[in-house]
Amino acid sequence: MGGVIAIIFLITLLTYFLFLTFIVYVTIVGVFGVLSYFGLIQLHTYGYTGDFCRPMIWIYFVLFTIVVMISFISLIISAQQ
Amino acid sequence: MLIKGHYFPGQKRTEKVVLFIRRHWVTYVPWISTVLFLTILPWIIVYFLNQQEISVKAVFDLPLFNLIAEKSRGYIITLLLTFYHLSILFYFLKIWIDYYLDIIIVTPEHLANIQQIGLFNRKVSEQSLLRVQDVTSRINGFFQTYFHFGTVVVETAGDEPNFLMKNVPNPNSVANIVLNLHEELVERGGFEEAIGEGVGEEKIQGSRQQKVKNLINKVIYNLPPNRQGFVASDNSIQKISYQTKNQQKIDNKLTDKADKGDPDVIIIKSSKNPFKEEKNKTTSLIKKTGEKVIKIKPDFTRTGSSLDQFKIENSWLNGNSQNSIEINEGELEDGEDIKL
Repeated sequence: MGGVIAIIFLITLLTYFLFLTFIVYVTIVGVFGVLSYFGLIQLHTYGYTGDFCRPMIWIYFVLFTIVVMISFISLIISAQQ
Repeated sequence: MLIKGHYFPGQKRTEKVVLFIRRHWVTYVPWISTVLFLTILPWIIVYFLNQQEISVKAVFDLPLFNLIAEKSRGYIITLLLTFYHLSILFYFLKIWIDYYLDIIIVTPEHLANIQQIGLFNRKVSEQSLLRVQDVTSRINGFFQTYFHFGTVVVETAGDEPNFLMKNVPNPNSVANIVLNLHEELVERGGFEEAIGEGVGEEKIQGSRQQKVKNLINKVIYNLPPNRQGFVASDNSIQKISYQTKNQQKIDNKLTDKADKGDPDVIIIKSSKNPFKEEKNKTTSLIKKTGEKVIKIKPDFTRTGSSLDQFKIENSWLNGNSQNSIEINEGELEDGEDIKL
């Protein structure tokens, strides 16, 4: 119980101030960005023919960008409310 | 970066790829469906909550969650949704990589099964086609029957586990191709390995003649059209490229090797006059160009290497007789010298 309250307090602290929230946001995006980069490295290293690999990489990149942009805009809107 | 055309560690430079197979695309559909469903799931939940006139932020009225400050609640929802969608996207990338990098490769000499396990694990299994004992294809169920994919099981000699190829498109064709390649490889004379793997001795005995002929044909017909010699010793075949067409220089080199006692056979081909293959005959004929031809005394004693051992006749090195030789189908017997 104490642990749960501590976690809630930590979450509140991290999200109370916009700049801390932004740091958390960048951390989340950064972690997934690095993991995606490792995945793309695997494809680059072991990709055999590149027939439909490259379009799929582009699709992933576009979707990733869309999610990041939408979440960033949501964050800004939340800040202004 | 993979060298183009080179897909697995045991692949030789000249080894061409006959089949390059990925799993059937139908096996990918459930994963894609899961990703799509998870993507729209939050919005479905929001829609139903709105239908019930319940706000999403009502969750913060619950015990413990009401401790979270009003200012933080919007941020938390945004961060959670960001984390959620990025997780789904990454999951999509992971299963795509898993699908795309799972490859089955069939060459004239090998089977290779390359499996990508997760993001950072990779397993490459290779099997020589000589070790193939039996190939079975299986199609089970409605989807496999309708979309023509299934499992190919390659049973191998020895204690090695069977080679399993799952969700392969057109498994019957794949099984036929593997079997045909195996038979071609055995005919081409890979008996040394086959001996080790328990292929019947009578099968090997009956084809030694063919084996010598195949070796001659393989070396001669496949040499590039420059002047080259192959020196076969106990453990290797070394290729010697002569940059000159000076026959004397070539002869000196051959003599040197013979004097050193190296058990060699020299096969030299000229670029001037290509070999002629007459109908119904397989010849190693070089028409009056002064080139040295084969002098082989087949010795099928297994030396532990993967090559046969041949002995060169010194008289051939010293002699200047016109060399031409013709081997007809069925003429060569075990141990027979090819007389010049």
